[in-house]
Amino acid sequence: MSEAVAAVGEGASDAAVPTVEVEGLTKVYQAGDPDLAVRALDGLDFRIERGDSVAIVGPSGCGKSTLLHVLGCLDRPTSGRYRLEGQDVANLDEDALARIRNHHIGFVFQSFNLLPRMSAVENVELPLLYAGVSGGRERALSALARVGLADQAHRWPNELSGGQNQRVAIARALVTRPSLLLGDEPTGALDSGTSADVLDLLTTLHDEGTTLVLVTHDIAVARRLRRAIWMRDGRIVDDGPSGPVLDAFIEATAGGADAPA
Amino acid sequence: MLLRETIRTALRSLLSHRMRTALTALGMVIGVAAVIAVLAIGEGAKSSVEGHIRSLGTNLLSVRPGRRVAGPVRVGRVDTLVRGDVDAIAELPGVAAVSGETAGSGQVKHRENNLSATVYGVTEDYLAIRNLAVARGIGFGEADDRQRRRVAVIGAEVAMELFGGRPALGERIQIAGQGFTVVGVLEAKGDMGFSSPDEYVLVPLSVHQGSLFGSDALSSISVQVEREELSDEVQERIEQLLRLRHRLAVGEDDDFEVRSQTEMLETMGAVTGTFSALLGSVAAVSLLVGGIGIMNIMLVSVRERTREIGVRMAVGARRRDILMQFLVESIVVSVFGGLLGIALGTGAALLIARLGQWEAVVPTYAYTLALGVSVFIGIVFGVGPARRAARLDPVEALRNA
Repeated sequence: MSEAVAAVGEGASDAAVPTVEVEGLTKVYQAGDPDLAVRALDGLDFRIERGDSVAIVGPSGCGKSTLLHVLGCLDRPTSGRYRLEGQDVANLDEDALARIRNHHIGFVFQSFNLLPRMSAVENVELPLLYAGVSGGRERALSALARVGLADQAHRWPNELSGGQNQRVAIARALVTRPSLLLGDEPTGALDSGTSADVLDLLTTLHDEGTTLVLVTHDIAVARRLRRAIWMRDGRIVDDGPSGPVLDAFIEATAGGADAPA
Repeated sequence: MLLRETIRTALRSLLSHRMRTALTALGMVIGVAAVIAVLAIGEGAKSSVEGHIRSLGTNLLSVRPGRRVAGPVRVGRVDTLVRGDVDAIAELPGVAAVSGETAGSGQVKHRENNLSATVYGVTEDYLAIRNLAVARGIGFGEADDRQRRRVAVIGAEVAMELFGGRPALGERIQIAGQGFTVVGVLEAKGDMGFSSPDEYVLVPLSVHQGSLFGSDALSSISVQVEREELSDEVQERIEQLLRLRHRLAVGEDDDFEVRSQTEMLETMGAVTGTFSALLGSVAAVSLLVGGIGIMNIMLVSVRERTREIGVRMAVGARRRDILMQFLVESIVVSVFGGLLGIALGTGAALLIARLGQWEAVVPTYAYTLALGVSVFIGIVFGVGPARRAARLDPVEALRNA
């Protein structure tokens, strides 16, 4: 496992500080009785180098969503270390985490999560309003241009197709130029055609240097990324170049235990 | 986030539920309108009472029969003041003028016109003390009372009712079946809230007490003091004099009361104050209900928009940004209701003034107060829901469908 991490790491050896570095990352959900504690993350160790692209796969309840939330600073680990761009973020307070989410993290959700009473460009501008930066409108428009929706800037979310909504959401995630772009099943709510378009967009962003981490059930999506982390019961089963890891994952789940949805 | 953006977001959210926003604001509309109306009526009543009492004349003491008791209610015998008291008070040092008054009601007639009026028996100084001027005629002379002349001075409205537009001076009128000559018509004063001199019929006291009503008792004695500083001193002298004249033993209660204008103002103020307190509590209850309505709808709004809160947190909103967003929203609803309430309350005050039952003046501070109260209610009842929103866990909020 650790050898695999080292092997993946060499592709980004020019970057001195890894984007993500976790050691003994643990998240325990306590439901009253200590005997009923659920270890959603159970001592994870890995690094993600700058510019890498990683798919997190595994059965439902394996902890991959929890991992994404912790990596995105929406949730704090119970124990362990998490360095984002070399900065220890595991023990920051609420306001500092909000600032990290604003400046360093871009989120893309399965259900887009655009605010319905705002136009496309206003949705994209939202993180910049919370950042308090000036010239937000221009930056939002250029982010929309980057995802190919310059001409739809003033449409409302309900006037746009699912694929277009997800592109707006990606523009919103990109507009603060984050260190890390996180996707939670970003193509899960799209048909295969638009799904491929959105995936093309994400891989283009990755080719341009964005560090990408996606949680996905879709093996075809996972194969487009360079690296895969296979999780089960809060632990990493395998971690390495996506091809071999995903082949092993499919082989193991063909029996039915870990069947991908 | 900028306050301007926060306000815009709040307006948008409120505009997307127009009906709900309007109904939520309704409680505030009624509450603030009540506040404005209370203040307008209170202010109007105050100025009307003050105007009335000032119109009675300056440096005035009023002597009334009966015992002094706590509160505005007088009890006891009401026939303790007599003509002799008036003449005795007139001899006291510091007294500029004295007038004894009594009242009775009767039919007043001129040819086919007749009306029922309060007929006052007064002495010569009455007009001067009460600041009443005779518009036409000469009023009462020194001899009228002494010689029991059947002469009358009538108010402007009485003159209008009895004579239409025609001159009244020198004409004969009948008061309670007895013939009188009109020797003066008072200047029109307009409505003064309580009893207006325009409706007065005045006759010499001796005539009133003699052939007209045949009663010795006076309803009041008005005393004009030479200078305001002497007021307390003269009040004391009158009290001592009357106790002596009425043969009251030491320890026995006064069978009369002497009040200065300041005391009269205080009594009137207490009455209008009670009234204001009553309306004020209605306003307070409406505002409380309005505030609870706002809190209720804000709690619903927070629940409905849990996912939106999660999204905002995910893109970098801090807890205080969320708090501000919902707080501003509740303040906007409250102030919106408050502004409508100010308009409604001002309209109601104008209507009341137009109907003439009360004077109603909206004091300028009422607007500031109403706005302040609106903002205050918005904060007090909005802060709970806003804190609930701000305390949401981002992961839980995003999971919310």
